[in-house]
Amino acid sequence: MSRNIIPIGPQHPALHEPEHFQIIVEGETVVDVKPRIGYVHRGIEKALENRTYIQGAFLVERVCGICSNAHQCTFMMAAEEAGGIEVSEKAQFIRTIVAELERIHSHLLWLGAAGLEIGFETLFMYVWRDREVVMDLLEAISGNRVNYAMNILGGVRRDISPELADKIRKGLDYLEERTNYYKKLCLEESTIHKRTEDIGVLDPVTGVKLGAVGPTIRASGVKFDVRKNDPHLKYDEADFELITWDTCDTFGRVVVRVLETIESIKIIRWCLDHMPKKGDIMPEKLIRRVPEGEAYSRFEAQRGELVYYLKSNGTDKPYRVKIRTPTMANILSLAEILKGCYIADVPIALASIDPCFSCEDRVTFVDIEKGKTWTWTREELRKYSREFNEREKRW
Amino acid sequence: MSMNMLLLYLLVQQTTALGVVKELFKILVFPGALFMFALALVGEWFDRKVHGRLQHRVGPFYTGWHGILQPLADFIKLLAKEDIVQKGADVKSLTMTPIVAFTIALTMVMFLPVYKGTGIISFEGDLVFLIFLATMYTITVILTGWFSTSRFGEIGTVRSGLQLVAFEVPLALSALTPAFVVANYMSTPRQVAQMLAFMGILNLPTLTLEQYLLLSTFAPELLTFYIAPILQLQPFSALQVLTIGNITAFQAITRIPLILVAPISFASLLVSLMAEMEKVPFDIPEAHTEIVAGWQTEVSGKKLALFRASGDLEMIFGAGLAATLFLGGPYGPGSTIGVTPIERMLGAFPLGYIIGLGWFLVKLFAVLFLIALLRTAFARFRIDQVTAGAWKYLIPLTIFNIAAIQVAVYLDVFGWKFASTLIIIALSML
Repeated sequence: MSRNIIPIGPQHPALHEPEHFQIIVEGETVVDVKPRIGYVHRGIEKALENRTYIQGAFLVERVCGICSNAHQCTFMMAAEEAGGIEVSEKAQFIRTIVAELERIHSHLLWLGAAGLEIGFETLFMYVWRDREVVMDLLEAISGNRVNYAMNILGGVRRDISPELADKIRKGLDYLEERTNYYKKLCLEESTIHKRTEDIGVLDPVTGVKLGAVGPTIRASGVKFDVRKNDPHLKYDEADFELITWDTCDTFGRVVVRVLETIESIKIIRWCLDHMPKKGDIMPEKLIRRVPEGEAYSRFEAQRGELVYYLKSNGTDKPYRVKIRTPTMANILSLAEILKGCYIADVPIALASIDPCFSCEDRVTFVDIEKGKTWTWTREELRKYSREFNEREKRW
Repeated sequence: MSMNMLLLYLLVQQTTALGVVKELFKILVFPGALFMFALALVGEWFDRKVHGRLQHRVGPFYTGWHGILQPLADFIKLLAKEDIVQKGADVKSLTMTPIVAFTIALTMVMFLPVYKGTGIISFEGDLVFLIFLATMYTITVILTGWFSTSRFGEIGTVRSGLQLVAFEVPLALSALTPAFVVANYMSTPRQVAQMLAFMGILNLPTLTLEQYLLLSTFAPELLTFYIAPILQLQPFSALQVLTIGNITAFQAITRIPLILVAPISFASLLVSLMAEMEKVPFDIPEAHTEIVAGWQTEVSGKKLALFRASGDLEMIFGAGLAATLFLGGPYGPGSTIGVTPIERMLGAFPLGYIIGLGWFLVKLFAVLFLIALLRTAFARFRIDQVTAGAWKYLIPLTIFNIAAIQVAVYLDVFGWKFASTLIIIALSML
């Protein structure tokens, strides 16, 4: 059968961000996928080197709108580890609560978006309506619906009062009831089964080999979760289960996310019950400088393991920050997932890793045919831009 | 409707000057174009409102009472929008298709028996013609996607064509099931006479004594004129059976809405109509997340307005057809006849028509509600799943329903009334 190339992206109704996939098909079946990243590279890593830790904290939030707290928290954890800064017990609890609330909001958002991908508009409407509850809770805690700006070196910026804790508990009761309903719906509704089962299969061996993380690999039955394997914050004490599912397909990814939402609710309840009543949430004097050192910080964000490498040099600015977002780790597995799908299944299979392309975009210079890579200085880049514009007669 | 068709129609009816005005009123205002268009807009509003409420939304809200004017506002807005045709499209054909689609949709709804046993247009065998029109409508849709020469349009077109292939057979089979029932029933002169009398073509045998006396006083010639031919009546021909008017009349006489006899066919008709209308589990030709808007990606402005309006008309047609063939159309459980012979004779305004209109609207909106409910409850299927489902399940089940009815009828003929009744009851239990 003849092979055709179908381009998906950079502009495509199934993608919410610009990214390009060359999908090679035989008839209706996808046989190979070549992802090409780098359309929305924003140079945040470099920008962090020119900003203080305080400024950087609010910049890293903008790496991703949905896992903003995960990014900020990981950045702060890396800086604290590098400089040996203590974080109070209560602040740890609050960080855990916000992280888990954010996970609930992200998973519900994904469930709705996945419903839209398979044309299940009702699921989308229901889920996003219930998601408002968790958004309101986050607003009540932090003052913002997105980009919570909760973390600061050595602690968090806002406290959770007992009244607020009661409000959160009430919200959680409602969310638990609704999430159980969605669990039942996802496990029983026949059209969801029809559109997700045996679609986007990622076998565990390939998944581990390609470095897949988060719900993507947990749906293939691999017990990999930073919260259990290398616990940060309060996860070593909290009582929750590591959710896995062994169908290895899109359906598994749906179920894992729904079940994880229920676990998140459990974790928040535990945190609210065990949180110390008194104690500082941040150091009395604002920490600006981080002593010399380097750290490698891991965090289980909603989409999978988020990694920050940070090197400090004793000033108020980091010397180097390296971010590896979960989608970056999953993008190779995504190529594997799409193989064997029908064209009509590509949108849902693509969405099944919960991609966030703007977070993971990187730029490097590669010549695939000659097999070489190189770096450009600022002057060379400027020279190229002049030549390019002259060639294209833009001025 | 084109002018030629109108003239032809008037010629056939052989009307006088007043008759022409009456017919024009019927075609243009009630229950023709204007009424149907208004009904289509209200139908869209109802569908959107129910759909919205089921999804925890408010639905249309701002324009008019609970947003009832929203579809009209959308229509007017779209008419005023810029009409863009992209490079490479077949401009003339692309301009024609929405007009053709709208005409076909408007013609289809003219066949609906809105207030009496037959629609404005009715002739022997019009059911077959209607199925043909429904196919033609889908073909205009296919052509639109094809003429737009857009990548998404072409994929949408292919999917629409595949869906047509899958659902044409179950649609025809299920729409013809009532005709099978009527054909079996109309096999003796007595039943034919009863039917004709009911429809007002033959208006004496069912009269009460008082009516009989009244008639013999005022118009004795009718008595002798009409009683004689009864003895020479033939069983219904195939064409007569395939007529909407006869099917509604049959349901009114026997007082059995055919959904009780052929529930599977009713379900099958509803599913096929939803596929034809591209409602949610079958909105594959316009799947937003896969192919933008499918065949209508490049359709904008006035063309889109016309397509949306014809889509609404098609929805009314679909729901109306289901209500007519399986729920008894304008006949309620109590009222037997749209116009009583007395009313006809005295020239009084027929109260039965208003009741008939009421019943028809109630049934129509019930079916619309069912469609809104179904389209809320499902996710979109994939095209291969849909075609496989149609051929593997829908068609065999419909054929099973027809076969079961035939078996029941034969048992009845051989005198095993009990067994035959049992089968009918079992069917209605489904």
